[in-house]
Amino acid sequence: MELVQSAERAALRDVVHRYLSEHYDFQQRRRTLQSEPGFTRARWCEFAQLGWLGAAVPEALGGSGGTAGDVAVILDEFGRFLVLEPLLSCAVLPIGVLAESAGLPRYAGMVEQLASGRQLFTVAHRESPARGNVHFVETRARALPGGRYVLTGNKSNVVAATEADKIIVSARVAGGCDEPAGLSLFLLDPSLPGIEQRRYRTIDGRPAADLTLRAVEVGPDAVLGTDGSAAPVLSSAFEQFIVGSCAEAVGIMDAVVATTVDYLKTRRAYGSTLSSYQALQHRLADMLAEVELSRSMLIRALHALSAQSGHQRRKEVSGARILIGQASRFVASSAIQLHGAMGVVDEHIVGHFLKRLTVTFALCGSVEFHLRQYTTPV
Amino acid sequence: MDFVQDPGNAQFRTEVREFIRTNLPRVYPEAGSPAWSLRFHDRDSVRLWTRALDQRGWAVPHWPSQWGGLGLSPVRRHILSEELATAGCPHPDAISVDFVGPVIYTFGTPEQKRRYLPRIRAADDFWCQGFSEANAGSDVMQLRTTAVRQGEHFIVNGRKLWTTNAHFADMMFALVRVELPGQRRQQGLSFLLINMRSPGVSVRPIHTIDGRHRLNEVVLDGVRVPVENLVGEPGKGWVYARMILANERTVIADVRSARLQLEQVRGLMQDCREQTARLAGMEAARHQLARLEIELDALEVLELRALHEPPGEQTVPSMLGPILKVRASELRQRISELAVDVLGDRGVEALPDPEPNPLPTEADPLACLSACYVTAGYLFQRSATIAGGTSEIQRNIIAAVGFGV
Repeated sequence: MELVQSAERAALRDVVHRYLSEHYDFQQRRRTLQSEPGFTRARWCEFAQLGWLGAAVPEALGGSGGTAGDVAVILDEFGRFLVLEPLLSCAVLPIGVLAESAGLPRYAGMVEQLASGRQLFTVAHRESPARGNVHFVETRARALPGGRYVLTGNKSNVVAATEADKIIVSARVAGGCDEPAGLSLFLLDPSLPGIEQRRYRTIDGRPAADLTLRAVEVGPDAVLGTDGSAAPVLSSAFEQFIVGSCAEAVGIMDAVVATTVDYLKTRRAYGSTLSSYQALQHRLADMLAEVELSRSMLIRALHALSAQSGHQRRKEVSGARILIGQASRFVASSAIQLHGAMGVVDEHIVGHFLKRLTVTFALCGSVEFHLRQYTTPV
Repeated sequence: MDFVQDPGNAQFRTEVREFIRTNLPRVYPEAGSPAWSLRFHDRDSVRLWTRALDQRGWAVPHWPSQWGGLGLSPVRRHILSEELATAGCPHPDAISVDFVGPVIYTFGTPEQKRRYLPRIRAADDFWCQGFSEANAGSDVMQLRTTAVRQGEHFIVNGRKLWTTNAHFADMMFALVRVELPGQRRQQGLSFLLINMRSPGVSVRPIHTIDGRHRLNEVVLDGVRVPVENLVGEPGKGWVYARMILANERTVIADVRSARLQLEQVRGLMQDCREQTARLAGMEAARHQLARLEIELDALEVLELRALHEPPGEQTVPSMLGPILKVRASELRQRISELAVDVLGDRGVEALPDPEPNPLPTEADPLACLSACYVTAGYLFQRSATIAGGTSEIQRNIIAAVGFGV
């Protein structure tokens, strides 16, 4: 458990922070949001060159050879600046899936494409009834002769689907809709006939789409990993995704508190600064307490990712999702309250923190599901 | 509820229901369709319904009969609002009929009454409230907008902020500081009626975090306002404004919409349960909904108590109004949080820009759009504890009453 940040981590944090301070101010971010597709591919490629997309990919495969802890530091800084480029959904998640499903030579090729920024990958796994249950997949893959498959079903919240060059789709070759057995992964070209996209922006302004797959036919080379046994791959990748989301949320909350402190120290009412009123001081104190509890929980979850497995790891990840999700809502809505009317205006950054955090945790699965997972006996 | 003493109230409720049943489909032929319930009521649409209500005196039921009202008791008025809200009817514009109307008929000159009240009642004019400024939200003593007397006019200069509906309002009632020739600027605030079509008035939209346009910044740059537009005595504007803030508190508390919101969440949970039947039954959400509903049960009685407080005792400030405002607005936020939790990853989609017109009639796109509205509502609810007096200010008032200060 890393209770005190190592010198290497601090150095990485410093590099990311300096880059984003120079290149990611709020006004420029606003302009990017208002144009299509809501992030920039050029920036994505810069992140690739800086080694951030492949931060946890082994050096031999063209990555930076880091750990989940390094990824967490990058995400934490990305959170502070509300970075729009989808690092979690289009790097952390697909790398997590590919790392454990593709055989080495193929994996090396794909990860190189992803980490270098040449190809944008996204994962189409969520289905709206699943609510966080990674095993819930109704999309069917029907086997045809010659190792070909026909995919039929619906996928929701596929981040940056329209911009992606490759989509990793989960589908069921056997089993009932929430059984772990019978899940497979397919690598699809988004332009294949039968893939329909309903594109929209999420409330944080980022692009996503719901996918309808109508008898999409793929060849044998589309199958990633061992047919029918993708459940552990998906579980592990989504555990990394959730912990990464928690890291991003901790960074966002730090920025929320900093923004609020600045405002309370400058805004005046009834003859003195807002920071002099005890009711407001106490709310700020509660916000700080929530942030520090969240940071502690993140350390615990990162430890679980590296040192634990199976049920215990699932439980730790669910705990982090619940505590940090709850803290995020309290911290971000308190900040709006403390900003008064300014807080509900779209031109001010403070409301954007709440919107981003709301989306972040909705994509991590419902509180209901994670409470159940946390309380399930071994 | 059975606590109501007057049996005539039940009769009144029946009359209102009957009126809605016969008139709503006449005014809005598409009323009752699922798409209609999502519809945003614009100015013209509100005007149609306000005029329909006015045939029964229900556009301005609390106004004195001389000005077309019925002098309806607070309890009956509450019944009327409840039934209208339940049926999904647009409400007559509160800023016009509830905020400025009573100030004009209580403190206005006979000429002001004749000129403005009939136009408010018929929804000819829509009003906006020019109180807040950049450095004066809760602290109204910081207001800076000036009105300098020059002959038969005031020359008004200043900037009003967070002005709801200014982009379509015909008139504004504003708090300003009057300067009379040969005197120094008044410490007190004055209540002035400003025509929004006057030269020098400009309106800039402010979008809120739900992506909508309700709020504005209004710049008043050398606007000439006839002196007869001053309401009551100069320097007493705050007395009149307080009457409005008490009303605003009740409007924003909006206990009825908390109940509607709660029923909406129950509906969402049923939808989700069917889909997730095999994933167990949303137990935590059901318990949370029950807790919120129990609190709402109490709050509805608290609202009735506030409505039944004898007017004579209003000289002693009551704490029920501020308690209602704080707890109802916070409860609505918690209900909207539950709604977003229940929607899960279906609840992250932003309102489409621009919103589709006409609205979809098929079930699937309608459900998506309806989820967008729920999420937008969750974001906009953040303003419920800020607008109309922040929760912090309301708690100060409650404590002051508690301490007998």
